[in-house]
Amino acid sequence: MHVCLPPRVIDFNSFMFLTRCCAVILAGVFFQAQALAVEADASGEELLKQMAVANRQLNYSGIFTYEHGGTLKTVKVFHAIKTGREVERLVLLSGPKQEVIRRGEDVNCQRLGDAMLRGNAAGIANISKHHLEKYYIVQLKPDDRIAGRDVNMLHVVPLDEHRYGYVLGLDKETGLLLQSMLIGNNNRVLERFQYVDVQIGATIADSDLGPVEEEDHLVSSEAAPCLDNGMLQLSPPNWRPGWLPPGYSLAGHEISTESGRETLIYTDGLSVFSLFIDPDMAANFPQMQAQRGATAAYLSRISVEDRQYVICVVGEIPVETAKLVMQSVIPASPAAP
Amino acid sequence: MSDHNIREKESLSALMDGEADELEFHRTLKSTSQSDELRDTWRRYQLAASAMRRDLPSHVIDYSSSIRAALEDEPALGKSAVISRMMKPLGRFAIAASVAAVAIIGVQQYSQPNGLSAPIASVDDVQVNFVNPQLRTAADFGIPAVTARTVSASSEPNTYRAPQPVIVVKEMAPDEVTREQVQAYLNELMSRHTEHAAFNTNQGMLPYARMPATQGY
Repeated sequence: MHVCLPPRVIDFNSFMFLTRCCAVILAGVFFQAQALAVEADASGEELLKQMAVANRQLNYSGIFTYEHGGTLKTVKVFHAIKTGREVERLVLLSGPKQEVIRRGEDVNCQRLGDAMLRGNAAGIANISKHHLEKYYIVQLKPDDRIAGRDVNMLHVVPLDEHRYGYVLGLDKETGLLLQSMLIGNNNRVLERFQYVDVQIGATIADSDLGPVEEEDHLVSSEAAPCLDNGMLQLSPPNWRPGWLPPGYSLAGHEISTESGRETLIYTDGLSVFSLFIDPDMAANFPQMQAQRGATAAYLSRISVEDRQYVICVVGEIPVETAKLVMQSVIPASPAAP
Repeated sequence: MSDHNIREKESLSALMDGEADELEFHRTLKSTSQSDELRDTWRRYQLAASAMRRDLPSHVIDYSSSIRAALEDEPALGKSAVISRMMKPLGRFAIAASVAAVAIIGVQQYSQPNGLSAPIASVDDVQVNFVNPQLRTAADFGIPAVTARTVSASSEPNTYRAPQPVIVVKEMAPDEVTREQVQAYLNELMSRHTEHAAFNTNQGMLPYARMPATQGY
């Protein structure tokens, strides 16, 4: 810190000295402020990357609440890494009895969404290293406390109307996501996810990860392939949207052998929507739109060469965007499907 | 013109602009009822105000003197002291009730989803009013999270809503397709989508919380 003691008699030289002194201090303050701003900016992005890793690679257990509309769910969660694989169990504590179990997920498997957020999606067509910054502004807000732990608060503000914004609370120590609010148009909070109590880092007992019972929901990751050397190996889709909201890329593709339903998954790194094309459904489904919490669905029919298809876009995106995507869907090639 | 006169006219002007306080309001009404000159002034002020708003009537007819005369001839309504004593609390109650009604209407309007941005099926939405409504221009949500409060968009504030997916059919469904079928289909797609989201949003367990609370998907 520079300290200038004013001389008793101010002659011209000391006046000049004083001026220079003040200029140095001012410049110092200015540069410091600039450096802080850059650092804050960088750490916002850094925190998001840290979150993506923490959510998958840490052992944690706790209880969180999920709220949308007038409804509130309480959910118990266990997340563990067992011999390099992610094991997860979710137990709904309110409403109908329900469990979701995820088994044997390779902890090193990176999907397009991970890569986009962590900034190493470069190499995949059309995705830049600073992918997220093109579509969101990430701001660091004053710290808060969630579940008894200090959190960094982030506001992730969308730059266009094709995605929602987020208010995120990330554990200071580990980066784990402890609170998330999805912000829709007119600053409406569409859903709120928040831990009430959480233990991070402790070993999770096998008994807590539970036996898989018949009524449990076992998660399938078939439609979400890992990146292979930064590249995505996907079977060629029979359909494609003629228009995509900027920043979204194809992250997964699947054709069900049973129903013939084709699924295309798109993500911008934070938000995901799925496009379903169902040839099997009766042609009688009406055109409709639906909304539950943050999830919008837009459903319509399309007729190609006398065959009827049901097309549905589902995702945490504005329903107007879902509609635009749905309306643009066309067969990928003239001969197909 | 006396000082008193000027003050009264100032009060009158303030009253017409809605700027008089309660005391001034009653005093002015009382003195106007007792002074022909003030009543004339009142009329002139109203005319001037109308002229400034450009809604001057083509003919100005003064009913006031005939109404006053008619009122003076009218016999006072006979009402017994007992009834009036009984009515008094009732009147107060009525006022209280009407205030409550206004409050309820106010709440309903407040929580009503607005126009375009409101999804068709918005029963399920949480609405939060941030201090600063300018989301994008402010590049900021503009609030500390603490001030966010959830308000049910339901217009019936006291009814419990089971956590059910709300699906509103925009077009009338042909008869063969039931509402249940449509809901089941959408529920299935939403569940599938949840899995995709869980693998690609970097938000850990969060997407699973969105799964419809129904069994057998």
